[in-house]
Amino acid sequence: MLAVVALFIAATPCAAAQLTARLIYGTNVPVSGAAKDLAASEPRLAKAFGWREYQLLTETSTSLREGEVRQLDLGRKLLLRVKLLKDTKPTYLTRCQLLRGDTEILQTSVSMTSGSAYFITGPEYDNGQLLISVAIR
Amino acid sequence: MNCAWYQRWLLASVDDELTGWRDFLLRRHLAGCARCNAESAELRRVRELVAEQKMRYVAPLDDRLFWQQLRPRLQSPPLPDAEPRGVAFFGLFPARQLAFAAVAVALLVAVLIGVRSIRVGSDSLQLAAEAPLLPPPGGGKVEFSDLKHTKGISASVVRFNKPDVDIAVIWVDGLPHLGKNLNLASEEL
Repeated sequence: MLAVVALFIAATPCAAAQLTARLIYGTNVPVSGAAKDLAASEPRLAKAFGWREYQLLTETSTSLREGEVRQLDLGRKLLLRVKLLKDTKPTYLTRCQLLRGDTEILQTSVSMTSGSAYFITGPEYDNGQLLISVAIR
Repeated sequence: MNCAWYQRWLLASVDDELTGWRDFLLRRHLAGCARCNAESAELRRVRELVAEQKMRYVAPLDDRLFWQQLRPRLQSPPLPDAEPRGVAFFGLFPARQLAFAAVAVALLVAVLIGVRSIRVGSDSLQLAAEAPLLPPPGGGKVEFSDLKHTKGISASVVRFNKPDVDIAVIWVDGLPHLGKNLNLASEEL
């Protein structure tokens, strides 16, 4: 009986999905004094997006349970609205909307495994481009 | 409750007249109070001595003789007694072994709950930290469906499947190039 109790205690699942959205600025112009938060990821980002330098502008996180909707403010009037449609850990099905102010830019359904991430390319900005990263765990 | 509260019940307990919740409370108190326990033992001893002394008389009791014989026995120190019955672990268990077993089970459950809380805590810590920007190559799986976009722009899914890139992207074209000062978070794009 004790073994059953121990197994029950040890195996009970107990976590919500954690969603993190980041606004990243990619540019070819070295940004003086900018923190190199993304130095480790720059080689992979450079191969995907072509920019040499990447700067993390904003980072925001939220926990999400099935059926819940969260709106993440990325700044620069960019908002990410996410609804967790289905939580079958480690796979999450989400509905994701990217808004600029009150205007929807795009929306899509995304099936993601825990620890995965995807990007949305944003507008070009000065001498670079904004990128939105959405990661889940 | 202090000792005086329980000592009202001691005589009744010694005479085996205390029952119910009073008996339970008193036994629990005796298990944790050396003073009252000693007093109870002394009362019990006196009661037994008096009863024993009475049994020696067939004829009517002679008070003076009775007390003369009883006094030295009362004044002699009591023999060390065996473990009081039914007082182990606040009187909840009739035997010390059962009390130890119960404590062991409680400790095991506490350890398991502790391990679980540490596990949950570490999960919480992981949750408190942000999800990584990029999964390790081949470490994440992302599938898009039902992609819709507003008029005037185009959006398509681009997947970099090379092991050294392995990034899923919704590539949006047509957003106007706006803004100059990147450091103004509120600047209109």
